[in-house]
Amino acid sequence: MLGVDHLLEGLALCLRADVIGMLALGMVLGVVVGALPGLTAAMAVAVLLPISFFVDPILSIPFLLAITKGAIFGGSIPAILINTPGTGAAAATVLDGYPLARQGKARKALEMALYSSVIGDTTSDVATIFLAGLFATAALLVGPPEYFGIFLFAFALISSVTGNSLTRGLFSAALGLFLGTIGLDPLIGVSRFGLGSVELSAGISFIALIIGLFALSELFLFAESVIFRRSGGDSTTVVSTRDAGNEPLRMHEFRACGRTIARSSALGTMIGIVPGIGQVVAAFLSYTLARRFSKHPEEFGKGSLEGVAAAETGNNAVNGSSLIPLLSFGVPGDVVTAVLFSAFLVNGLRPGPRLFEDHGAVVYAILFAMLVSNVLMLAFGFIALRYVALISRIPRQVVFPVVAVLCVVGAFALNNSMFDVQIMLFFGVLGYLLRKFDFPLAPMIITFILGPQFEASLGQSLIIGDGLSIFIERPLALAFIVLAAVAVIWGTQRRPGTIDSA
Amino acid sequence: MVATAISLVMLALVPSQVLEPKFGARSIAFSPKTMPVIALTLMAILGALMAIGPALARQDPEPSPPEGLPQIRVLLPIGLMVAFVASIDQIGLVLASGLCITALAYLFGNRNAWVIAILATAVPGAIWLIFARSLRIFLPEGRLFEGLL
Repeated sequence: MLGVDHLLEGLALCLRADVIGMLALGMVLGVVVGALPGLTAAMAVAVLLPISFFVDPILSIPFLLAITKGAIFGGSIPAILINTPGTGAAAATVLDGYPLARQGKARKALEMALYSSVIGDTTSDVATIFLAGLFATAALLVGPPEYFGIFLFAFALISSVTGNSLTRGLFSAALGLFLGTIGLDPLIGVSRFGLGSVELSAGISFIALIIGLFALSELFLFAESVIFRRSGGDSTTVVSTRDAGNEPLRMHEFRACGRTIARSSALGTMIGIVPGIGQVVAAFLSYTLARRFSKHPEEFGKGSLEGVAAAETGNNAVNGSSLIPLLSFGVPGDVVTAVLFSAFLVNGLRPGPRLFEDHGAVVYAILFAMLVSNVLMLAFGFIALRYVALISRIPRQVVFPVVAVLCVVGAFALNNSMFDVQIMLFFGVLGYLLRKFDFPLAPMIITFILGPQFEASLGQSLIIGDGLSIFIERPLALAFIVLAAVAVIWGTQRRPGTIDSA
Repeated sequence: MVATAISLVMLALVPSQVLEPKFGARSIAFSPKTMPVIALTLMAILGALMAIGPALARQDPEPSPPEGLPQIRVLLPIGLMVAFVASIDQIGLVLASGLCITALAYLFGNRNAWVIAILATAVPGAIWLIFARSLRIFLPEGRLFEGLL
């Protein structure tokens, strides 16, 4: 199953010129999106997901992954230059990145962000290449009761750690679960909540839902902030690398951060494996640990290169390993992997343990392509560092009208259906309202996408075990159900924060 | 309370919107109604908790959301998007896209006519070239221009 032939075939596939071309395009788009405050990685992959319908999965999935990687790194650019994180993942980078820019060390900070991002990403990708197959082998040994436990644990954990309130997180998860029941029942094929509509009887299009929730709602939030407000919008002052210092990073400065980068890489990789936690937590945990173990903790917050290295390594190290639960168990851990889940399905590949058996070469090609994208990130990032300030200057008044049209085209393209466009509009408004009232969107997306499998695994378990006792008789299933309860109890104790993998 | 009310209405709709299977009912562990009922009941309970929880715990009411309450002006872009989608059937996706970009750019405060003009022609043009010409995807032409594109 995990033969060397799959690895070698995958390696050959990922080095195809068209794959590298798509990776480069994805990386450029990702960095541009990340560098624009207000545009997120989730939004970019949601809007560009329709591309995966029309090209080979070897091209489309690495393309989407490269966008994510590029966006997570790109988010550090405005964090350092304009004191505004381009994405949530770069929030910890602001703490030391902007003070460095003000001290005339912007180029040093940007280069440190680039190198540590590449190292964090690469460590995580290598771990994923080795671990995903092993996890998949283990996943083959578990049955419906264990899957039910895993799904329940994932739902509970994501609801507990995302957003500022456990109640809102659980509500979001319940809403996603309900929306996932619309359409055909997975056990017997009965239509549910069709409301007299043939299209709705087939279920809600995930593409329309995700584009609406993430891209269109973002547009409405932006619109609200600028309409009738002349001073609103993009009035930020961008510090160019030339103004803020053009001195490059020295080798001894980079070496001084070696331990921090190694620690943050390991930490970020481990965090990525656990569903729901995501880049923001990884960045802040890495930053906190770096400060605790640093020889110069007093410099943190005032312009420490170590602080930038910790935050950027930590958030990027999540990228690769977040694919492990997706590829091995078919459980997406965050919004981006949920979109990737959909991209896999559209291309006839069902994430889960059988994926390695049935499409081993394709999976390894995708995993190796992540390594290639890191090389591209290094090359492109190095060239682009001189011009990145220009990207942050593109006004959102120009970007968002284009996003609006792409939302409609993206929702329409999969099924040539105006009904999907209307659904996208509905979820755009719903997403806007949910975000305004501080409901996290990640639990809703995950339960929506996994809801039918959750229901099927529960139904199969009850048939196999002739009742609920099967969940007590199977220790692994019981362990995950207990863990789910622990996650909810922990969520009630957790202080409100700003964790949101979206 | 709105969330609870919506959940209760949806719960009331379950019997009419989820029919019991006529065949194979004995081979399934639970009714197709079970999961929607569980999800909607959870939503109703959590919605009620959000509304009355702080009062029961004798705490201050939950603070306003960090993004602030929804503003009435958001209806403008929402209305514009609805009009955009509604007009696609009549004037086609390409032309409607150009008009939508123009309107949104103006609404967002962009007053540079050149930038708006370039965006309004280049983006729909690129969409048409990529989707209709290269990928051979049908894009609505609009009743007014049927057969012309």
